[in-house]
Amino acid sequence: MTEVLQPAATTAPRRLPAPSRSTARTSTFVLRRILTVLAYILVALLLWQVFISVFDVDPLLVPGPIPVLQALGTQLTSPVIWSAAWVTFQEAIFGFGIGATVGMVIAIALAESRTLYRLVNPYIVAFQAIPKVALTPLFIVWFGFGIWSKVVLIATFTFFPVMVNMYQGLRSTTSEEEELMRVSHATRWQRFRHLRLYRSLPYLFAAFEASFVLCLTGAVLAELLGSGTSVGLGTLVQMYTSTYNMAGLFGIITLLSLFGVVFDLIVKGTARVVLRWNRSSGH
Amino acid sequence: MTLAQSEPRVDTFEGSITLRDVTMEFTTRDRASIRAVDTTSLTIPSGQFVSVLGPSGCGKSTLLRMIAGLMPPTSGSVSIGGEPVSGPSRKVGIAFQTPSLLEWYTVAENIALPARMGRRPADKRSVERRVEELLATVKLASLGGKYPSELSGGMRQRVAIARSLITDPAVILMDEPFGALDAITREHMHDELLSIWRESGATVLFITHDIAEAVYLSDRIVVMSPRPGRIVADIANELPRPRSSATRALPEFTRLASELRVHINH
Repeated sequence: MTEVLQPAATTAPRRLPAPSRSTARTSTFVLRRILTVLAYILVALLLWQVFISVFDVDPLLVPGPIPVLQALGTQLTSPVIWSAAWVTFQEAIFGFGIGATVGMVIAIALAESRTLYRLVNPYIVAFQAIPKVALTPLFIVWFGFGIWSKVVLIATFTFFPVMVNMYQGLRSTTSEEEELMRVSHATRWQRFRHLRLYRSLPYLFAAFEASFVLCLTGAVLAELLGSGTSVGLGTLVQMYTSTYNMAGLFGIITLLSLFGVVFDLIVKGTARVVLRWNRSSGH
Repeated sequence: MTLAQSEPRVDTFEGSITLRDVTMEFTTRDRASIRAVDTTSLTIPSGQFVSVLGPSGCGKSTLLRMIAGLMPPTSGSVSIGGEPVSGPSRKVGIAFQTPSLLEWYTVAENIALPARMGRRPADKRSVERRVEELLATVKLASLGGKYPSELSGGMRQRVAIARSLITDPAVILMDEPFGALDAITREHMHDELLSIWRESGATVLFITHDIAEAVYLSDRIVVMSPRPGRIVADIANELPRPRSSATRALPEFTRLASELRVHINH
């Protein structure tokens, strides 16, 4: 009879937390984040207006938040800004995707082979020492005025932090963890798949957070330096500046900053889901 | 690989450990050579509980790693069950100084890990059954689905012990596994370890720098001295079993502890 009374749950191993609960927690997290961001924006606008009024700033140098919001309103209803935003977005995403992929592949190769590390690492460090911006004209010559010269530039921005961080993460295992894999007769692949890869994930996401912002910077920078056939947000920045459309210019800057915040939220949200086991240790 | 149920071993040779004139030298960064273990010989019959006692840096962890097949000795030979050790073996389970659990896997997945690795991993179903048994053995039944971060330090070390038992090893090597635990939890763990040892019939080599721990647990205590690491005493522990808190109050307990202290301080 006692066996019947025994609740089944005490003997059955519980699997991962139910996905619905974890998604719910993640969506409250995202909602809270969005509300926080909105509050911050409100405070920033208020301080901005106070600054303009108190110091009586020339609207040709710094326009107030109201004309900027008005300009942003007009901009958001015109197709020009959306196509420009789409161009910049594509550049950032492709550049990030390619740079991060190459960075991860090279990090894995270097972490798994000491010889390769010794052979290749000096070149990578030397490459990192080049100011990438200086390569922009070269990339434009090689890949044209379209989005691909920007994509390549952004990829060079993203590659290094991702590679360095992931390499460090892959090698951050303790000697006891490595010994555990050895006494368990783990194959090289198993050691990578069950131990080193997971160890590297928190490092990898830290690199993603850092380089996503760099992606937008890279995109705008490259567009400022030359964009003939594709009009991105950077191109619009240049156009508005040359016509002294300060409200329009600040509108674009606001939009770019919103982009950055959204990207950041996406990365942090993904990290929360992927690294749920790591939450106690500071994520 | 088979995962036999735990029952007293019929084969009384399988878990024997023999070290013959084993020396281990390390080269330091400034090219000096350090003798961590110096021409050491030791024979442990199958099923014995042996503690290796010594101050930190006396080479006792090195000794354990040579037996585990994680480090080949500079000279001399190590064998388990009469077979020379040339690398890690499934006949040997290890519990490290830190639990070293993989935080991204559940408790059950962590315990199963050693049996699920390799080119020919054990059958998933039989491993799962064995994991259930081991969870009960270490008094963590129903916690198989938890993540290590949800457990206390003592629970984590119990998971690590269960993991060292998953391949049903003839030899269990323990490298100061309770060093980080508080005194009360540690005494609980001692009794649990003794009951696990009794059930499994495995040989246990237990590394520690805690005299009372060595006396409470072992059949035999080997004292090592540092630099070069050598065995300076090999003492049989005749305290009656099963042991309990009353054991700690016996005059023999105190006598043996002070005898060991003399050897350590020499």
